[in-house]
Amino acid sequence: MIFNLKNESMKQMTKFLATAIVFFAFSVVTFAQASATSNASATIVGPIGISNTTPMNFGNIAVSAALGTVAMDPAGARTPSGGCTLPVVTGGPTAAVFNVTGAANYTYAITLPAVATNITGPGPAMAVDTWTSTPSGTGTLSAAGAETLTVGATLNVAGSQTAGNYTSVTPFTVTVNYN
Amino acid sequence: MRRLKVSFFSLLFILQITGACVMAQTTPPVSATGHIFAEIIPVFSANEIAQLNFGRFSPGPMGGKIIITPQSTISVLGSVFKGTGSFNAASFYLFGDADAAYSITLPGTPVILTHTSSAKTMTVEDWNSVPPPGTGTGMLRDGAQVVNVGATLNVGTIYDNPVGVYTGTYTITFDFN
Repeated sequence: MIFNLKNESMKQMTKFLATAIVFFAFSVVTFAQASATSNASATIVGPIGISNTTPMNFGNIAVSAALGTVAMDPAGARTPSGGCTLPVVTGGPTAAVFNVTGAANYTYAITLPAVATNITGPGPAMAVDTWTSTPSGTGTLSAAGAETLTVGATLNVAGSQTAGNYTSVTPFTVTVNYN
Repeated sequence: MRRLKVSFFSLLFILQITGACVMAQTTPPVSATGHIFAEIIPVFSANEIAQLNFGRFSPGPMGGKIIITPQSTISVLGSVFKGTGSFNAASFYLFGDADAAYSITLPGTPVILTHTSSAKTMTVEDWNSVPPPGTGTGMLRDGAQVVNVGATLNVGTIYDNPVGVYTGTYTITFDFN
C-alpha cells in the first residue's frame, strides 16, 4: 500500500512538471487569453558566388640597376617608381577582374590577400603585395544580383631583375561573403 | 486527451527550436583565385658606333653651312669649300627587347664646337635622325636598331673660324617612354 502511494505521487509529480514546462514555454498566450495571427515568411537567399574572369597582368616593365616597384590600381593604371620604367609597348597590363553574383541589392564583404604572392620566372621571384580593390571593403550587388570586382596590387622588382616572363605559381585568393 | 495535448505542445516547441537554428545559420564565404603575370624587359642600351664628322673643309671668305643628312650625304652652302677626306653622320646602336618601341630626343638648342687652340666656336643645329625624332618612333625589330643622326654646321669666315680642329659634345636621349 505504501509502495502504491509513493508510485501514485511520482506520477502526479511528473504530470505537474510537464504542465509547468508547457505553461512556461507558452506563458504569453496562456495567461493573456488572447490570440493573434501572423504571416510567416522566409526569403531564400541564393548563395554568393565569385569567379575570376581576367588574371592580373603588370605588362612590360623595364628595369635598371636600381630596384623599384610598379603599383597597379584597380582600374589597371600603372605607376612605376625607383628603377622601374614603363616601355611604350605596354604588354597589355590589366587589373584582375572578378564577377560576384548573389542576391539582388545585397551587400557583401570583400577580403583581399593579407600576404604577398610571389611570381616566378627566369630570375629571382618577385613579390606582389599591397592589394587594393574596387569596390573596397564592401560591395553591393546590383538589382540583377551581380557586380564586377577589380583588384590591383604592387609588384616589387629587384635591381637588374632578369628579363623574361614571370607568372604566379600559386594564385592569389579573393573571398566574399554576405554582410 | 491530456497526453495528446502535451505531445502537440512538444512538437511546437521542437519546431520553434528548429526554426531558431535555421535563422542562426550563416552563408559560407566563397573565394576565387587569380593568377598574376609580368614581363621584365632587358636593360635598354645605346652606344655610339660612329661620331658625327663634317670632314675637312675651307670656310672661304663668307662662310656658310655644311649639311650632313642621316644617310651621310653632304652638301655645302655659302662660300664653304669641301675638301677631301671622310665625313659621316653619327650612328648609334640600340639594344633591347624585341619589338620594343622607343622615343628619340635630339638636341633642342645649337651645340657649340670649340677650336682646340683658341676660343673660336662654331654651332651645330637642325638635328635630324632616321628613325625621326619623337615619341615611339623607333622600334627594336629583333631587339636592335641603328639610329643615324645628321645636322647642320654653321661656318663663319676664316677670321671667325681659323684653321684647326673643332670639337664639342651633344646628347641624344633614347627612351622607352
